[in-house]
Amino acid sequence: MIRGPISLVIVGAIMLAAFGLVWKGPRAFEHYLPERVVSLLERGMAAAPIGGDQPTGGTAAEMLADSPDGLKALGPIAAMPGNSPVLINDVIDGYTTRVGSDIPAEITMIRPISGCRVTPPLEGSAVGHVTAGVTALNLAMLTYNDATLAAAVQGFVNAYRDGGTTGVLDPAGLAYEAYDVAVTQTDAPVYLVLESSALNRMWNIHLAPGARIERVILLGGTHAGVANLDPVIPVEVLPGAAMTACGIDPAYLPNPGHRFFKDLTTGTGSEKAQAEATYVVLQDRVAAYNTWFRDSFGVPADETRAGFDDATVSVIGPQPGEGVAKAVYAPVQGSRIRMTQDTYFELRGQVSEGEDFVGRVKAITTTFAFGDLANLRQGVAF
Amino acid sequence: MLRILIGAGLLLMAVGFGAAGWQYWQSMPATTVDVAEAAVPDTANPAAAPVAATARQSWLISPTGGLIPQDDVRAYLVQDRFVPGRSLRILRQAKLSDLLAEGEKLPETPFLQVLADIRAPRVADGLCAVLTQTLAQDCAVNTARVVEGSVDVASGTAMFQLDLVYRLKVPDADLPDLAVHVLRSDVFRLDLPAGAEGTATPDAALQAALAAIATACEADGVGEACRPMRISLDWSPGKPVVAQAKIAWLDPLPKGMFVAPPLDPASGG
Repeated sequence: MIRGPISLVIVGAIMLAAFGLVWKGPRAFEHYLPERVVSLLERGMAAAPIGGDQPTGGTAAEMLADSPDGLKALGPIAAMPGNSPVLINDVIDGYTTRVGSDIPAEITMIRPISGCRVTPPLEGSAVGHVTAGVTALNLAMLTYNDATLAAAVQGFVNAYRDGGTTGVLDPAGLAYEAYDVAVTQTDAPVYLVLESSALNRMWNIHLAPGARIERVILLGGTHAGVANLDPVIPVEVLPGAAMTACGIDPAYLPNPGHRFFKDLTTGTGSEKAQAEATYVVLQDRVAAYNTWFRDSFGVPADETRAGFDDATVSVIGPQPGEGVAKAVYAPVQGSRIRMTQDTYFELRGQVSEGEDFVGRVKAITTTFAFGDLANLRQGVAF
Repeated sequence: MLRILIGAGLLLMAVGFGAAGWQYWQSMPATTVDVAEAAVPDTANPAAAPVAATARQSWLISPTGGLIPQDDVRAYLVQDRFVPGRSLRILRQAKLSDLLAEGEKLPETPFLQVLADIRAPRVADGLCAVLTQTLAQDCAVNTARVVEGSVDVASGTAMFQLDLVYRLKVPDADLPDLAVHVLRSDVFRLDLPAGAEGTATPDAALQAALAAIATACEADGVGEACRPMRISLDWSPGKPVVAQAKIAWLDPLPKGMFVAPPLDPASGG
């Protein structure tokens, strides 16, 4: 008689697991399954697409999609200089994307540089240039300011008025997003130029034995930091707003399979004319950025970049093999971090209740509503 | 165990079907009986018959013979409850300090906009009183919001969009037989230059607008049972006041026009 309920529980658990897998992907189980199993599931899902432009094989080149939205890593691949793909396992040992709960040991706040000129590389050093798109590897570190809080309060008020809900929007967009940089160059000090389009970026550096970093330049985004870097190595930050103020406009030509080129080649009449005009403007922007980049770092931006639009790792240096060692993964957990921060900074799960982002939003809203959220309600029942 | 499962299932079914039955019972049109009763002519009091007839008619026709949109019909006829079409919209400036409780200070600049939005109903205080002192028997603030991007930190002010709804003091008995009348409407505009009487405060501007509405309803060419419907008012200190109002009234059926009850619903209803 008891077999019936047990069967029901088993069927329910399987359905829940399947729902979680479809909804959040293999990462939904990263706290319950070994990393190897999660990676296997990820690779399996990447290799067995539901209906997309996924690769059919297992080589690095086959895992790089030249998609209408940009260059996308469909499997565990990293970007080499010039944007050639390489398997992550071939360049870095112990790599993981389980960083969501990593807590650093030491955090040092730094400030962006004043002015528009960064310190140039020394003669004889190698310039490594990384560009990072969106990785969705959100860390447990958030930073925000009063304007962010005010916008969240307004969102809370609107949701409450519309549907009576009292949930605050997930502040995931405020988290620092991790991006991994593996440095395999050992024959010269490396001058790193790390360029981001994300709001808040955390660059995690993984060095091969013998690799040396001369200086790190963090470009773009709102706030940026670097993890696992020797504290004596200088870090200079030029955020996106400062770049704009300096007239620096990062621009690159899209990948050949980008929808922009589709409009350019097969678009009709006005679409094609508009795409052609945009292309001319884009070429000018690319040329201007290349000029600034060469003036600042001695190399052109577009030819040196290592970074797909959707990937998590870039490699600076040669591909490991005979005589070239792999980089060694350095976790954010227990690391030293230098970062720019906004007015408020919090480590998720490390702040007392009511002093986190959600608590602040609710407290401000309640105060503004004279202590009672019911005062937010509006509307007459017709 | 099996008995417990069956028992639990039966209990759930009883609760579910019970709730469904209760909902069905509640949704039974209780008014069916009332309407049926009201439809029977009151032979004991023949004088009351036209009143009952007007109360039941839920459509009106325009002077050209077309159906009046239901929103307008409700705004004109339905006075036992608030309706969206009968509203007072006010765009007004207010000081942010007026939103504060005693001893409170304004927050940092980024929070001013959302503070103003949350406390916008405060700037509607007093406006309902003006309405109820004149033409409304009841009034409520439907929505009150700050206008996006209108916070002026330097002057400490913001613009607010207020939407009030009201019920008129007019009894249904005042209405003539709707079946032999058409609904006419007109929009009039009141412009008060800056500094003129009635521009000092939003309350004063509203009083001036309501007085102008009363005057407009008594003008030549305006028929029976003139009622305001949508009123709007723009007020800022030291600036001209602009008010607009849509008024509606009943005129006798034009000669040669024959009214038949509508077969199709009017737009908006």
